[in-house]
Formats: sequence, structure tokens, C-alpha cells
Amino acid sequence: MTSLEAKRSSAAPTIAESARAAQHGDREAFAQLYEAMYPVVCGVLQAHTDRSQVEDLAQEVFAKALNALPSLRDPETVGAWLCTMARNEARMRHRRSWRDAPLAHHLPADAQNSDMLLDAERALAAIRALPAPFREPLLLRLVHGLSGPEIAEHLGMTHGSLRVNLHRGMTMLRARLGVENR
Amino acid sequence: MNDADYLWNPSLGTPDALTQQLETRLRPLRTSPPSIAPVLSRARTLRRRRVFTRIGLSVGTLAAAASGLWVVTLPTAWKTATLSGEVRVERRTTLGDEASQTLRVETGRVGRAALNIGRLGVAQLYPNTRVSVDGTIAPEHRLRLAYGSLVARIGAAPRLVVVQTASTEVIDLGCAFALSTDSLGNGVLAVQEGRVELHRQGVRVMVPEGYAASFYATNAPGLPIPIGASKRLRTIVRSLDVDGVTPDRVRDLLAASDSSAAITLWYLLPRLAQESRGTVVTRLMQYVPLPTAVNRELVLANNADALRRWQLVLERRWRGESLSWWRRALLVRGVSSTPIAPLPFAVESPSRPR
Repeated sequence: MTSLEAKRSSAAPTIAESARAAQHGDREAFAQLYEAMYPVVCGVLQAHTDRSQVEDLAQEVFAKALNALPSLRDPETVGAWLCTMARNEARMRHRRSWRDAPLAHHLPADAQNSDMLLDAERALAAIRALPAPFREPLLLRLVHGLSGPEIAEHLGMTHGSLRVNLHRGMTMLRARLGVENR
Repeated sequence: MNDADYLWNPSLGTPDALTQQLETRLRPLRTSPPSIAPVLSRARTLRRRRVFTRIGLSVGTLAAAASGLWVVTLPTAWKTATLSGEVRVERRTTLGDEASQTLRVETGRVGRAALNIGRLGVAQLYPNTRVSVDGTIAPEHRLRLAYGSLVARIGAAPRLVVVQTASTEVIDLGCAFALSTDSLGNGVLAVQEGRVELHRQGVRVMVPEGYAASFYATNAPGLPIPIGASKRLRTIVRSLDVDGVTPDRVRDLLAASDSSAAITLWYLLPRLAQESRGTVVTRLMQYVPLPTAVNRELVLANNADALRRWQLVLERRWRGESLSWWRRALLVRGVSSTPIAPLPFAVESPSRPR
């Protein structure tokens, strides 16, 4: 059971309920929304930007979200809304910062050194080198431990599409890491 | 149950080695939410910034609207208005390779008229005055003052507006001035704000605010003197302008001048014979000390660099800096029929060489 599921199984309000309450100025509800969505936002940010900037960008996303929450029409879509904000924020930061190195497009495959390749940073780099539609689902799944249905809900995708993206993303990742596909 | 199922839902399947390894290796990157306090503080800052941005945008929009309104309501180019008495206005359009329009405004014995100098300023014509404009060729706006008197307020950048008399060009450097001339080109210029340059056959005299200078049909532009100069000083300067420089006249000028006549002495210097320069330079040094790195010998030897340095010091002391943009804007805005200022000299008798 993931942390998110654990939260949901308890008597805690759902994300949408927290969002609805936060829209009316309930700071406690916003804190709950923050707790629940922080990993998701970080996952999306990790897919688009350098890891050193993730925490700062996540703060920026939630600060902007707090100010913009009253304008959110449907609190049920708060997850997808936050993910969109995170993507935009990462893009804006990337545009502003000329120092940002472009993402690596190719990771040298070296089967004999697969242990070395599989350290956290390099694995993250390998995922970030994947095409955009596969990056976010894999990061949310492998880094933050969200389940498929949770990711689908937050990214605003159908279960079918997400399942395909997870599977194809994993296949591509194997190829990049030089691990034989089964 | 296989790895695909596990990937979809960790509670359903069994991970393969790679998936398991990836999960293990990537788990350290999992982040738990830090304190929310910085988020709340940043949200407050963003709100404040948004308020300031909105205020800035509103002010900017208002300023843009005001500027637009300002431009739209600026007087129409070369528009004329009769202020009093008889005023004759003729417009003639010539069609050729390039169409051009000539505007001629003539005031009668008691007539007074106003004329917008494009969108750059306004001139008010006194009785018995004839002005013509041959086209409005940008960027220079050239009025021909055939005879008579006018006062002008110009809000343009320096040297865009020129009043051409029969003998001399009167070049605006951003100012308000009064001008009177006869049909031969004998006249007088008085500068009320800013600076004006008189130019004839390569000789240029800059007249700053508060000063006047005569110009002549057959001579170079005269020496500038304070508008309120004594009759004696005016007489001496006129004789220097018209009859030429003699040691006696220079002596008389030095006797009649005070520090306000420093500019008069400055423009007299190039007209002096070498033997007369010493006394004038000495007097000028009393009014305006020499800058460092310049000495009397260099000035007497006509050293160009030394003279330029001294001139910079002199110019700082003369009032009538080129007007700032906002003063120019206000000047242009003032193109109404309200009188600008009375002429500081007799209209009927512009100064003439004897």
C-alpha cells in the first residue's frame, strides 16, 4: 500500500475535498493538500528539471497554487492542475536559466557495469532522457511509489493510456540501460 | 501476475530484477514534504508582487493612454489662426515629381496671427510681418521671415526648427525667443528660454537665455549682450558689430561691461587683433577663471584645445541649457492663442547698422 493510498484509506479527506476547503481559505486543508501532493509535484518536476532545483520549484508551485486556488473551477481536477503548474514552472525556470545543461539524450549502455549504471542519479538521468509522455509516469511510479490508478488520476490520463505508457517507458528504459528485454 | 501488473499496481504482481533494482536505487530520491511555512511566506510575497505589478500595469496603461491623447490632440501641423486684425493666409500646392505646399501668412498694420510650426512649436506674428513656409520637409522645419516680428516657442530637439531671415539663419536649440527683422535682413534676436544660434556664412553665435544679439544684412551676426543691457553698452556693441573693432571701442566695451557681458567678450575675442587680445583675456579671466591645464599663454596663442576647455566652463555659467524633454513638451502644449511674452525690443524699429 502506497503512502497516498494509506492516507486515503484513513478518515482523512480526499485531495479534492482538501482543495475545495482550501479554496475557501482553510489553511489546514491546504496543508493536507500540500502533504498529499508534494511527492506528485516533485515527481513531475524531476521529469523536467535538474534535481537541485526541485525543492525550490515545488515551493513556488504550491505558493502560486495557494494564490490561484480560488480560480480553480473543478476541485476534482486539482491533481492534474498542480501537475500542469509544475510543468509550466519547470519550463519557465529552464528558459530563464541559461546555465541549465540540456537533458542527456543518450546514456551509454554498458551491460557489464549495470550496477554502476543503476545508481540513483544515473537511473534518474536515464528516465529523464526518455520521451516526455513516459518520463512522468515512470518517475512517479519508480521514485515516489504511486500506483498506476493514482498516477492516472493526477496526470489526468485514462487507465489504459497510462498502462501503455508505463509499459513502453519501461521497455525503452531497459534498452537505454542495456538490459535485455524479456 | 507478472512485472507489468506489478508496474501497474505494486500489490498485484511481482517485480522483475530490474524494476526491483530501480525502485531500490531511486527510493533515496523520494522526497517528503518540508515545512509549509516557506510556501505560505512565498505566497504572500507573490501576492504583494502581483498587487505591485497590477498597479504598475495600470499606471503604464494610463500613461500610454495619456500619451496617445496628447499626441492625438496636438495641434495640426502648420495650422494658422488669426488673433486680431487683418491677417492674409495663402496656401499654394505645387504638383510635380514631389507635391509641395507653400504657406504664406501676412499680418496687416494691426494684425496678429498664430502659426503652428508643424507639431514642434508655435510662432505668434506681430503686425506688419510676413512669414512663409516652403513645404514641411522633415526633419527640418524652415520658416522664412521676410520681414516683421515674431515670438516662438519650440519644443523640438535642437536644430530642427530654423527661421530664415534675408541675411541670417536663426537656429532653434530648444527654446522660446523673439525675433525682428527688416526685409534686408537687419534684425535682432532675444532669447527668453533655452538657446538659439545665429548663423551667417559660416559665422555662428550662440545666444543663451536672457541675452539678445543683432544681425545684419551685410555683416556677421553681432555680439550677444544681456537683454537688459545699458544703452551705452548697446551702442558700443553695435559700433563694434557694424563699424569694426578698434582699440578705443574695445576699451569702451571693457569700461561698460560687467560679468554678465562675459559672453560678449568671448565672442569678441576672435575678432580682435593679437595686440588687443591680452586685455580682453585678462578681463574675461576675472569673470570666468581658466580651468586647470589651461593658462593665459595658451589662450593668447589661440590654442584650440585650451579655448575649447575654457568655453566649456563659460557655457556652464550661461543660463539657458538646452531644455529638458518635459519642458519642451510643455512648450509645445502651450500652442494656444495666449501671448507668449512681450517682445523685449521695439517692434517697429529693429536694430539697423548705421
